[in-house]
Amino acid sequence: MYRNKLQTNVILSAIIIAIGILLLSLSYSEPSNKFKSAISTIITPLQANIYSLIEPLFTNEPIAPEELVNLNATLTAEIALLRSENIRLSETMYERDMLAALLNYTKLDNVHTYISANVIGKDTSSFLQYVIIDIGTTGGVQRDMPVVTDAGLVGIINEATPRASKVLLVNSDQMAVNVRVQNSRADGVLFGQASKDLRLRYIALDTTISAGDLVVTSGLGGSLPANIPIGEIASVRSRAYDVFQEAEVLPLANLDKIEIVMIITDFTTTELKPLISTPIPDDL
Amino acid sequence: MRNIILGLLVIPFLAIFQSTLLPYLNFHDKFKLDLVLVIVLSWNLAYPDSESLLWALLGGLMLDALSGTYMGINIISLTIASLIANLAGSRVWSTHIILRIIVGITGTVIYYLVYFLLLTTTGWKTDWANIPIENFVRSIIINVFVIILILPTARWLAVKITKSSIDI
Repeated sequence: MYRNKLQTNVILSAIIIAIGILLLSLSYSEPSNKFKSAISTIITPLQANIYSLIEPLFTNEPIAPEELVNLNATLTAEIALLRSENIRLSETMYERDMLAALLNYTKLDNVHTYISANVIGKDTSSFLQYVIIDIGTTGGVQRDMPVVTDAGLVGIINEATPRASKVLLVNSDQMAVNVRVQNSRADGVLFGQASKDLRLRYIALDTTISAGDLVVTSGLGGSLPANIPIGEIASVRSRAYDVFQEAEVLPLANLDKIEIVMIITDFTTTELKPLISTPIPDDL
Repeated sequence: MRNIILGLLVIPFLAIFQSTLLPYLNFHDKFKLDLVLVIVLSWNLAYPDSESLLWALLGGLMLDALSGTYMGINIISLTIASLIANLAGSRVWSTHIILRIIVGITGTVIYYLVYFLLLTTTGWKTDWANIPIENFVRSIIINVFVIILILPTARWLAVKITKSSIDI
């Protein structure tokens, strides 16, 4: 009797695991995406409602009427615009100096357009850094769009279903962002860590960077727009025998307590593959 | 059948709570409870029936849908962990507190191990050297603690379901 039950349970587990493997192997395919979208479409309204009930209990703020919530979202978007403008103006000062040396240099002005979205959930895993927002492809959100708050870069859209999207946070260990230290103009790469910290790497040893320096996106690689603030250098590790120096960076946005975010919708990532040189065939 | 219906009613809400409520109750990122894992393990321990394994399928589906990982990762991890709890629950001494602790620890560890292994296999850049081990340990502690707490309720519910489904 017990042996039969054991056999049944093991067989059933094997079937479920096989279903899991099948879904996993179809991860990149259309049916799997549709399946995930369908589940998400069912869950999202429920999730949004539960989140809207829970969130005020933990934010120590009075429950605002809908009008105030909308006003807040608008003002937050405006702050982001002004912040971005401020950063751009600072950048313009540096650019002016460069332009004096580089005649005929022109740079396109890139004022962004934003959509605001509410965070309605966080990743169910303790070890992954995602948030779920209440706008998806029907709201104009697409994969790889940058996500910001009034403080700075939050992450990028990793997955978009019709009614919700997942944002991969900048402090995730899956994230690497090309950045620039604003004062020293040093380019580097900012990596998220499993410990949720941010580490700035590949800064040349002969560059002077120090605590408090602002780190902004450099725009190199074409995956993010330039000059979005990300964080401030907290500490620098520079050793004579290293090839590069490293720095710990504190994010400007409080990534653990994000409630409203903005998605930059007018930025399209640049496809660099065609520009990468291909090997020359032997017969040439 | 009642077991499956109960799972269909409970699991989606648990997954949503794990995504919405629990991030606020993690005590400054120190103790993160895996609610779905804990409930699925407890249920398989309290009611070691074949249908209880379907809770793992449902829980895995929900977690995968609400997570940034690929579909299937949570289904596989949760099913393997549940099978262990299910086998342990079939024993006569399944109510013993030591068994609850062992199942809690083993289930959580195996769940995380399979989870990270699958993440790595699917091309996820898992930085094994920098994974905060203390987070693992804390998760295990809180999961075991909650399993011990809710198991009596789960057993009571299991008895109710079993009684109702006996045909004479």
